[in-house]
Amino acid sequence: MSDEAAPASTVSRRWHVLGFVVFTAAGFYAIGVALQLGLWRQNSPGEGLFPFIAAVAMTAFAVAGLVSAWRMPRRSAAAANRGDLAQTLIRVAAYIFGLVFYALALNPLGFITSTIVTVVFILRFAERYSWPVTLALAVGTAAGCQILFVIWLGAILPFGYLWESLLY
Amino acid sequence: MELLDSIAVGFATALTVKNLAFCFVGAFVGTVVGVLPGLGPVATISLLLPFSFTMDVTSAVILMAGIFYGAQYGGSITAILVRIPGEASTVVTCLDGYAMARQGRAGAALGIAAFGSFLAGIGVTIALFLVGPAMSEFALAFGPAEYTALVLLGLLLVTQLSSGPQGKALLMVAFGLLLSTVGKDPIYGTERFTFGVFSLFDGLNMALLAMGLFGVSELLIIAEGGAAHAKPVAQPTSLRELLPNAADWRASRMPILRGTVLGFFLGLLPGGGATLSSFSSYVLERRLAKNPERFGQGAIEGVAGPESANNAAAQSSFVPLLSLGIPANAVMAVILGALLVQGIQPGPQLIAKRPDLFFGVIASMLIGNLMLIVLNVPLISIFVQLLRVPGSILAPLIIVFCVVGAYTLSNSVPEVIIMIGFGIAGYLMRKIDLDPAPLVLAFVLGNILETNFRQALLVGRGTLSLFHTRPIAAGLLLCCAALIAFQLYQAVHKRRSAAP
Amino acid sequence: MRTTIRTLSLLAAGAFAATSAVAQDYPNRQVNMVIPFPPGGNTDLMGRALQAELAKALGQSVVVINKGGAGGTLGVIEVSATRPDGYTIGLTPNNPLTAQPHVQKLPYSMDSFKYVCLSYYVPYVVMASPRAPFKTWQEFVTFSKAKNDNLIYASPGPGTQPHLGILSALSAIKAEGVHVPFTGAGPMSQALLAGTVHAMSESTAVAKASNLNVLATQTNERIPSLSNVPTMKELGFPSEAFSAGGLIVPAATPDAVVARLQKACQDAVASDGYKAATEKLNATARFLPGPEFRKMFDADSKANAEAVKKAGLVAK
Repeated sequence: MSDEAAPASTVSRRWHVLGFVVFTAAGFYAIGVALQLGLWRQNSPGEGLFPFIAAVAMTAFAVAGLVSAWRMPRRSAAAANRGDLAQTLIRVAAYIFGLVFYALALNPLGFITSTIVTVVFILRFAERYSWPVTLALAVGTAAGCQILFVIWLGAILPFGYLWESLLY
Repeated sequence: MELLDSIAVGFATALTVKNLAFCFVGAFVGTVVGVLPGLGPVATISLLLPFSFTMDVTSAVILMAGIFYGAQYGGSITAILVRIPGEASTVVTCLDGYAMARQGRAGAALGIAAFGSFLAGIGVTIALFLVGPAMSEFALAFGPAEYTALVLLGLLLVTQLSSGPQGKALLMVAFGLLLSTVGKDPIYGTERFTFGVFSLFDGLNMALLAMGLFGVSELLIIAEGGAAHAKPVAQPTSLRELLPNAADWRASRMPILRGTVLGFFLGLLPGGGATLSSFSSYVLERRLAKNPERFGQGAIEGVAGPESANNAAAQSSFVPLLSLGIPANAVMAVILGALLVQGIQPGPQLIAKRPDLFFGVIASMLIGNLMLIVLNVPLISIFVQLLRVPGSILAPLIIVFCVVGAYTLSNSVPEVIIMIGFGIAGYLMRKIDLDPAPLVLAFVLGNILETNFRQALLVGRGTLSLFHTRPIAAGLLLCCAALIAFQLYQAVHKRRSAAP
Repeated sequence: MRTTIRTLSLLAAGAFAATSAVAQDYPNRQVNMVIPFPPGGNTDLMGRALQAELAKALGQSVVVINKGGAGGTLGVIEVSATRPDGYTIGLTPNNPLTAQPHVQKLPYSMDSFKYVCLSYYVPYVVMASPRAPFKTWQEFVTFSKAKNDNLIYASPGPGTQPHLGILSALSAIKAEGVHVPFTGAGPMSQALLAGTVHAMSESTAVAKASNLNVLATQTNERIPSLSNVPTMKELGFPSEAFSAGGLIVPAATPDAVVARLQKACQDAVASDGYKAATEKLNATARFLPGPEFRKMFDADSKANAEAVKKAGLVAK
């Protein structure tokens, strides 16, 4: 994993601090829920005991992480080029948007349509391929997966409410 | 003499043209569904169920068994090549297998996975012929107290499992344990951290967690640089250079052996099985390694051990099914259904009544493993070429595989959203050097630990009596204590030698 | 977005469904059968046994979709929200409809569905671990009543059918015990065989698979394959526990479609292939038309409401 560790180390102290703050907050929330569930019932552990132990441990280690992150050197000078960073963030966000859209579109649009739309979106708008290449790859992916999953392996993938109501 | 008879009956059954064909089809289809995440052997085998109503029962079980252990091998292929675990039992293969692939050693990883699985399969088959029926007693010796002690031991080993600093690993272990408590309380049914989402009522699915944390987060890493610019890693082209070399073999010999033994025993236990065995093998190898920091950076032992263990466990899990009627996992439950439909009652009398079925299935495993290796080793050079596929084709494929895989787990969309959520979380965690491996391991162990500990207390009527009255449980707990003592000793020793 | 498109498509569907012409040529394409449990379980096996015969009777292919989770409620929710055109039907046992609504908050009730037909019936029996301190029914009763926490019984989780089954048996003999839930059939059979727990209530298939000692059947009449085992009614402790299931469709489905499905279901249940398959699975192929099917579930729901309340399992 050495080559992936590289971008990780360029992330600034601010992100480390933020990450551990999130874990600490989540830990305190979980402790609250666990206490509400109850730690003990007659003769046996209650619903909250295990969540409580795990949450307390998590909070403790998160606070420890927060302390060490706080002590990290500030490295504003070494920060990456802002333009590059924005580009990267936009691409990652586009992928996440594509994934979420894909998941939500599966039932209404059906497997084939939502696959084509998602792949077109990713390749055209995140990766900036030309339209012909994009369309060829999108249709190819959808067709290939339809053959592999549905026809060959008998998986049941959604047909799409939209098509159902239009066709029948 | 009896042994020779069993072997003769077994091979006479397995070597008929029809059963050979079923064995081949099973191993082949199993490899394919194993490669595809989510779409696991359970779904495929249940599709075959209606056909099995009218099929010869031995052939049906041979076919289904082939799919099952074929999938164990197939799952490692996507894990090594694109870091998507095809099966829950191949999650750990993502760690070092993928790291090896990034270093241009995908062939060696795939090769050792294939050969390790093969050797483990052969070993277990022989063991089953020798002691198979007798091993069912072992499964019964494990109750809630024993599981608790076993998992506690595993958890102690996991806490040392991380390439990063100790505190961060412990944070991940605690997070994994907390995630394992999501869902309805196993004893009282109270909702915990479900937020009213029905898909969370049965707890988080391990496959979703792993696909998100490993597969989707890797996709987002690819997205960072732009898929078009993701440079394929050069891999050697000739099969000879691709396969594991002499040094690889030397390093893998013992892990394969240990993985086989571990997998054989854990496979006999219901509720643990292939997943637990591959995780245990990884943790064990890391613990035994001279320089454990290589783990996670492409240590071949981290592929060889777990891959042997999961295949061994897959095969030995047939013993509790056939001799006790206990389905050790979801696949075994479907096969049990197929047996019942045919009017076959598993149980101690099965081996006496239907030796052709019991030993025929075992013999078919030997043949199936041979077929798998003949089928897969030449294919390694083709699989490795997949790494040359440009990112622009690979990225859409990873998206479809992950989303379809998560969807087919229970044909529902919320599962896909959960997986994407863990993908994003995994991506952000990697940004601050948090390693998801201890999280996933703790998650698996946490589930078993809480349920069994609380069951043990209920059975002991609120006392811990089960833990000291039952010898295996007490023994395992002593091992835990010894391990803690050893670690404390090591820590003190290190500090002393570090001091001037 | 999902809801908007779904509403739109439902509106469009409503327009079509209103015209009886559509209902009359039903079915003219594949029918999806949602099974609210994962593959390999009892409900799944029953569904797959019915699948082929139902397809024959309908003249269209029937595809099984497993949608397990949350005690079967996830799949039943799916059926309740589907287009009411008869092309997505559900095959569910009683528990998700007659017990789960008392245990958890659900977006459906018994009235969200039209009941097409009952297709199978699986009686439950009380079985004992081979290592339990009792061998016969009488010993079981004496042992269980001796002390409140003498008996340890297993179930696959609170509110599941085997849990309600053993609660029914225990309330008949006026005893209590320690409930130990397990996750999944495997660990549960293992615990019973190993003697970690003493008894449980399940279908005869489970007893046969693991060769367990059946103490009594929770039926009104003896089970043919277990003709030497007494019923609890005979023993003077009437208790009925079963898992029975059939086809359901959303309440808005046109009556003509329901009638067509009911006819097909009747033919399928009467077929030799289905009878043979269910018999091997230790179940009974039993047909009941919609109204009677509904009545049976209503009665079961009423009984469960009380049992669940008594056991303190009511939804918060």
